[in-house]
Amino acid sequence: MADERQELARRLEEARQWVRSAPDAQALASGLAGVHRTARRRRALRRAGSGLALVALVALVAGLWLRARPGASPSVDVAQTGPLPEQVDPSSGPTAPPPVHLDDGSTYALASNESRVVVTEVASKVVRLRLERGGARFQVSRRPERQFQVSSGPVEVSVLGTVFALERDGDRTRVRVEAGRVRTRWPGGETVLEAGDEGWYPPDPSPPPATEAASEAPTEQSPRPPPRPHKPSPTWRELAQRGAYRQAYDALRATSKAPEPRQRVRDDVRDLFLAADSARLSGHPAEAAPYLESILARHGGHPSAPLAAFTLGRIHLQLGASAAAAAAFAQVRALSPAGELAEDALAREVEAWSRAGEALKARAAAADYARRYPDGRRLDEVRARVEPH
Amino acid sequence: MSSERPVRKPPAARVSGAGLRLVPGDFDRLYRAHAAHIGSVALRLLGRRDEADDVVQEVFVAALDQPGRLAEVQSTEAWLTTIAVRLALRKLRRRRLLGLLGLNRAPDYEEVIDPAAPPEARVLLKRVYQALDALPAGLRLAWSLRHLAGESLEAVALHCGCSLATAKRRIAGAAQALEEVLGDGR
Repeated sequence: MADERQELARRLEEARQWVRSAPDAQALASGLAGVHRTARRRRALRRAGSGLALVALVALVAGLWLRARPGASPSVDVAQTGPLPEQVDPSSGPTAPPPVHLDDGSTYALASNESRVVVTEVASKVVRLRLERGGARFQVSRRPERQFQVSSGPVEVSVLGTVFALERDGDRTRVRVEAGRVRTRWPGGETVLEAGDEGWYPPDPSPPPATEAASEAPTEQSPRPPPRPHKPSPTWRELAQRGAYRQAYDALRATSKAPEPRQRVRDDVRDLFLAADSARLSGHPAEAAPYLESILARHGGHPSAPLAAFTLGRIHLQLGASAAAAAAFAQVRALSPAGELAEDALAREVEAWSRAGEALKARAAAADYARRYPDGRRLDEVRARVEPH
Repeated sequence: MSSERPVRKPPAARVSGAGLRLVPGDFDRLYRAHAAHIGSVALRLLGRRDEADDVVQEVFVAALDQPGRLAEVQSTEAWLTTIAVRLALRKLRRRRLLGLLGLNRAPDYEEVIDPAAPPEARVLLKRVYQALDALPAGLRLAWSLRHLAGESLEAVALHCGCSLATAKRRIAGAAQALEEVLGDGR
C-alpha cells in the first residue's frame, strides 16, 4: 500500500506541473484594475448602506483572467517578485523574448517563444523556478546565503552564482554551464558541472560511441547507491516507483533469467506498466513494447488499456514502425471510443499513416477527425499533415 | 560600590497596523508580487478557472480593505494564501450543495490543464479532479494543498487553520479515498 501511495504521489508530482498556473501579464494587469474597481464599488455600497451580499457583487463583475490560448505569446510567469513584461529590459532583440529580471538580481531569458519558465518561489533564502518546456539561459546573482534552483522534469539544477543554460526534451534536459558551478540531480544520481561542462540528464545508460566519448568533456557521474549488506536490495518495482528508471531497468535485466519471486513482473496492469516505464524511460523503448502488448492481450478490458495502446503507438512511432503505430492508435479508439485519449489517438493515427506513406488512409483519418472534432485542438495540425504541399 | 539599579528597558513596541492606509503604489506592487501565486493556488484547489478568478479578486479586495493586517502579518503571501484557502473552502461547499441538488454544471477540467500536457498527465489530472469532487471539502482542500499546490505539511495546517496532526489526518483520509478510485492502473 505504501508503495502504491508513493507511486501515485510520484505520478501526481509529474502531472501537476501541467495544471495551468498563473495567467499572463495582460490578465494580471486587468485583474489589478478589476480589484480596484470592485473595492471602490464596495466602499460606495457600504457608504450607501446597501444590503447586497458581497458574493452577489462579485458574481456581477466581468471575468478578469484571459484564457491562455494554445500557441500564445511566450509564457513567462514573473509572479513572485519579477516585473511585468513591460518593465523588462527594452534593449532585448525584437524577435527573442525579453529577459526577465528577478528581485534577487538574477535574470533568465527564454530560448524561444515556445519555451516556458514558471517562477514557483522567491524568498530571502531560496529562489525556485521550473522549466516546463523549451530552453532558457539563467544568469544567477552571487548570493551565498540564497539557493537558486531550477527544476526541469526529473532534473534539478542548484546554483550559487553562475551562468547556465537548460534545454528540455521530454524527460531529459541538457545542462550547459558557462560560468560558475552547478549541481545537477536526477532520480538515482547527481553530478557537479563547472564552467565549460555540459551534458544530458538523466544520462543515457548506453555507453557512447568511442569517437564521441573522446571529444566530450567529462559531464556525468552517477554514483551508485552504496551497497546495503543488511537489507535486501530494492526490487525493480520499488526503484521504478521511486522514478529511478535506469536502475529499475538494470534490475529487471539482471534478474530476467532467474528472477526471485519478488522480482518477477506480475501479470497485472500495474506491474506491466511499471516494467514498460522502466524500459521506456531509461532509453529502451523497444523493450517496453512487449509489456504493453501483454496488457492489451490479457487485460484489454481494463480501464487503463487505452493508455497502454496509446503508449505503444508512441513507441512504434519513435522506432519508425509507422504502420504499427497507426494500428495501436486505432486500438485506443476501439477500446474507448469516447475516452479522454480518443481525440489525441485519432490525430496521432493521421500522423502515423502520413509517415508510413499511406496518403489515402491518412486523409480518411483526417476527415474522420474533422468530423468528430470540428473544434478539436489538433485540427490545424491534422489538416497540415494531409494537405498537398 | 555602585548602587545603580538595573535599567529596565521599556517593552518592545508592538507593531500595530491600526489606522494604516496603503498608498496605491504599495498595493499594486503587492498585487504584482503575489497575484500569480494566489491564482495558481486557487486554480489548483478548485479546478475551475472562473471560481479561481473570483477567489483571486476576493483575496486582494480583502487585502485592500485591511491595510492594517498587511502591516502586522509576518508573511504576506502566507496570509493571502490562507484567505484564498478559506474562500476556496466556501466555494467547494457551495459546489457540493449544488451538486446534491442537481444544480451544478458538469465540470470541464480541460480548462485547467495546459494544452501541451501529455495525454497521460491529462487523463490522470482529470481523474484526480473528478475523484476530488466526491470528497468532503475539508479533506479535498488539505490534500490539494499538499499534492497539487505542493505546500508543506506545516503550510497546509496553517492555511486550513488546524493542527499539524489534523492536517495529516485529512490528507491521509483523502489519499485513501483517492487510491481506491485511482489506484488500479492509470
